[in-house]
Amino acid sequence: MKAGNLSTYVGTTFILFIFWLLITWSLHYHQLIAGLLCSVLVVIFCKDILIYPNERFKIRPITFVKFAVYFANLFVEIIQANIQVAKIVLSRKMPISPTLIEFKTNLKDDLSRVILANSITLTPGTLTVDLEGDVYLVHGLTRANAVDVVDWHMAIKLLDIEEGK
Amino acid sequence: MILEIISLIILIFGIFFFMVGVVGLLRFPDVYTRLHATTKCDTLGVWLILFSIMLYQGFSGPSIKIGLMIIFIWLSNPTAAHAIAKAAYSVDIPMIKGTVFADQAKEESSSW
Repeated sequence: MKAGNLSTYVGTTFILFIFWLLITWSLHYHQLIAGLLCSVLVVIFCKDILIYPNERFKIRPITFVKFAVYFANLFVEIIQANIQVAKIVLSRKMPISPTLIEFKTNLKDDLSRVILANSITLTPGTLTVDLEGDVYLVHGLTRANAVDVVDWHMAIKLLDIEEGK
Repeated sequence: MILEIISLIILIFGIFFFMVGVVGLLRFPDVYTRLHATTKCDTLGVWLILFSIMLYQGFSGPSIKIGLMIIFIWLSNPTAAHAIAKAAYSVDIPMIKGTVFADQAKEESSSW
């Protein structure tokens, strides 16, 4: 067992325990013991698929701040795009022009690539069909949607987070 | 009282986005475009409905659980949408006529 792995075990147990506290919403010692036991057992059973230090971002305050900004931005994007898609759905002529587009990303980590893929899918009008290595295949509801995703400003933000690690 | 009215308005907006999702499911022509309508309008629809319940509840245990539900739905929704899209793409479910494949390199020269 390496030293880095120990911090992952303890950290994951801690997160699971916090989650347990939020779900049960009580501080009775029965709950605490059961929760701690469950958290430890889950970590033991899932130790092959935990997120170890070499595949995650360094945990630093600035990273949290940047992620908070990222998700706030993503939220605004989702609302805007949702209204746009709602307009397309409800308009009489339904002006869609489905487009597939393939593009390469500069992101290095698997984790940040997955975050970008999920952000693309969460944003209405674009849908990640495939992600192979650093090549994304994106389906856009309209041509403009698909083209915009190639140099999306969210990807630049994610690159910034990745470089700061 | 004010809070109840606000949460009711938000609830109505949430239902509106769900309705848009259903209308899109019925109107759009193929798998991929239908996925756009259903999975996307749902994210905002679910958020608005659960958020209105959170407002109605006030700050308490249940409302925190609802907040966690929002987070998990937002994590799993894109994954599910991606799984459906990838499955449809890998078994070559045909796209609607007029779907174009835009190549980034040919972007300037193309005349679509």
